[in-house]
Amino acid sequence: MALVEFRIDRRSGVATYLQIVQQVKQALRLGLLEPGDKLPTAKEVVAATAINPNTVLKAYRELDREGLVEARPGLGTFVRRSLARPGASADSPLRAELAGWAERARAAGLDREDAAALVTSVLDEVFDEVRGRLEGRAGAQPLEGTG
Amino acid sequence: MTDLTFLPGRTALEAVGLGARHRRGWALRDCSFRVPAGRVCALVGPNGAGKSTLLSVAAGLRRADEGALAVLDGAPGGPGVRPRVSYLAQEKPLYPYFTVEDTLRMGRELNPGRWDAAAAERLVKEGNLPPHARVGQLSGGQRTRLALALAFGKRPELLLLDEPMSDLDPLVRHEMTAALMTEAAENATTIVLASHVLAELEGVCDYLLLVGDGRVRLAGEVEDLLSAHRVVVGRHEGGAPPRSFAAHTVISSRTTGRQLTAMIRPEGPIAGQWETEEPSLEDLLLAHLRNPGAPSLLTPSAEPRSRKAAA
Amino acid sequence: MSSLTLAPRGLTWLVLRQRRGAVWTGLAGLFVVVVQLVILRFALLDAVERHDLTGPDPSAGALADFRASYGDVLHYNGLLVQYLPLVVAMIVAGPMVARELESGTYKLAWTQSVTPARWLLAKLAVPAVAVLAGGSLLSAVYTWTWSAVPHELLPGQLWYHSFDMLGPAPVAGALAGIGLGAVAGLLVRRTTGAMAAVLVGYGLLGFALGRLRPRLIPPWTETTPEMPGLAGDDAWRFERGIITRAGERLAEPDCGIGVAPARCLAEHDADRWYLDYHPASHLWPLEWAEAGILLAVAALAGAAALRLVRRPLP
Repeated sequence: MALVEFRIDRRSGVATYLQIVQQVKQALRLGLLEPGDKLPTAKEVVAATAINPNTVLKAYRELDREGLVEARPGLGTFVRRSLARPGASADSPLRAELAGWAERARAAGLDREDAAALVTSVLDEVFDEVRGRLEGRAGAQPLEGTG
Repeated sequence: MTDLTFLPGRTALEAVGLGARHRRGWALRDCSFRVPAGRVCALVGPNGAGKSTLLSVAAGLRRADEGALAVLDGAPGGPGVRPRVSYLAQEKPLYPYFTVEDTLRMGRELNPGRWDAAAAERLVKEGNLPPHARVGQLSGGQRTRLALALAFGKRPELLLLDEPMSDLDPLVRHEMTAALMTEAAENATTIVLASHVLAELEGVCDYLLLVGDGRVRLAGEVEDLLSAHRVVVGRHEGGAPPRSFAAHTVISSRTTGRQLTAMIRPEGPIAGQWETEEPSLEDLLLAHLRNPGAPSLLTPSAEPRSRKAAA
Repeated sequence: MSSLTLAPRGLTWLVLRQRRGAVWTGLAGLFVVVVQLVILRFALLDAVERHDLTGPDPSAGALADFRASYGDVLHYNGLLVQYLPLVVAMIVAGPMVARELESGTYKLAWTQSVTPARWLLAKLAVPAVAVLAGGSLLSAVYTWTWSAVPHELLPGQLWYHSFDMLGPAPVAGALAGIGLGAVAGLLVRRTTGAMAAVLVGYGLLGFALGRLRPRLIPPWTETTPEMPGLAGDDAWRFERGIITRAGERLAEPDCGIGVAPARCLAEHDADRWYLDYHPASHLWPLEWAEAGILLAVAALAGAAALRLVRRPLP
């Protein structure tokens, strides 16, 4: 029985292998996957999602490179470490605070998008490194030329 | 357990100066490319571009009129090659008076020592094909499933499919694609998939062969081909293309009002204020299909080795 | 267990399965015709004996009855044997070969693990075995039944009239038909077109063989000063003419109507008549000679078909 199921969005414009990497990381963050868990085999993923098996292997190699999983030849690919932080789990105090903030935002008349924009801008300010990565992916990057 | 390995050293298909004639002119002309083993390769091109001809030559159904095509390092249709190659023609030929059971029996009888009855029957059972139904009474999708079962049952090292999914509904198409990919994952089968449904290729194919007008336009790893191109958007007025593009290969360029959208093959940094991003596979294919004059591009792994050796 | 090991395998299985209808129809037809020919033979012998038809003075009424009851029956059975080669050729040309090329199903067979040449060999060999077994049986039984009738009772069934229905010629003809059918199917690539081509081709072959037949083995010749008659015993008198003093032969010289034979000789400066004929004893040598030619045609056509199937291939 597979512990995670990947949902591939062919129209998202995000490379398929990256979608798998992100979904594994998300599962690690949420504690759906824990160290020692076995990732589904390429064959299982492919049978469910109809994507190229090389893509799955590429995603797993990427996770391996980041030290999140390890391939044990002949056995499969296993989770090495978790990304779940004590503060990020579903019943943490931080989450409770955020939930309280969201309630207050709604009471103040903000709709979902307003609140999300506010959160994103604060996150951008606080997590510099995250902002850099986001801009890198979004394009809008002036390229200095020679001519 | 799946121990899928790339076999970059081995070659599934290699063409050098390949040409094949039709009654009315050349279907393929001067095609040189290589598809490494273990890839899922999309064979794309407009109707009449020579896709089917290329697959027929590879399947050993017709001869090349000039140049050469090597299949699994042998002659197409040769005694050591034919048993290792499965081919599914576009019209999915099957004997209409045979039952489903007879058709699978044919696979067993004509592929002695290779036939994997379990693999073929699994695919047929998943589609709930009645074993005693005549092929002529099956729906298009059921026929495709049966033809694919026959192709899988042969346990091929190379699977050549000509427009396999064209008459399938989305659900069956997904199932068949999953079955194909599972086949590739289990047996490291090289798959060459001719299609003009571009959307069905995204995420499925890791290798690309674009033919147009009988010639190879793009060949190589999808990723490498994508990263060799940029979609460039920016403000530009006047009919002529921006001078800063002169250093690059422009595949397509379109101006709407003040906005210019172009696909280019950068040969270095792009001068000017442009938003650039990597194209999607569909963008890349469409740009090349719309502009038949664009110069061709082969990534290193798609360069035929024998030509390099000869040069 | 024995039925398992005897069961056809591979391409043999495929060809038999594809033509399952023809196989069963052919077997059933063969059974009916053979049984009926055996019955016919005993009925013929019985009628001849009962009315003493071979005696010195058979009754004219009994003879007419005999001809009316058995002549046509025997003749139609003979036609079955005579047209067997054509039927075989048309089945091979159309349904067996051309239809596969026309509908594209050849691609199915050729992309399994068998080569196109082996595919074609099976298409030739399976009907060849069927013809050798079934056709030989049919021809042998027909010849046996035919030989029960004294020739003077059914003049229409004289050996040289029934030549195409007897002995090895129809069997060899069917083998040639298989080869010709395959060539036609591979060249025309359309079911009905290939069948029509075989019809024409087989007609031409039959015509050529008919012209050639009297000379397949040397005939006997009689020379007489008087003009010889063409009727008589069961010899096949196929050419009459005159021999000039210079030794030249002129077949059926044109001397005009009502000219006396002696005058005709004089007109052409000839001194005797000749008659070329084959006695009844030549039946089997002629049959085997014709069968030999047809077997050569079969071999050549088979080889040509193999070349045709390989030509467009790598």
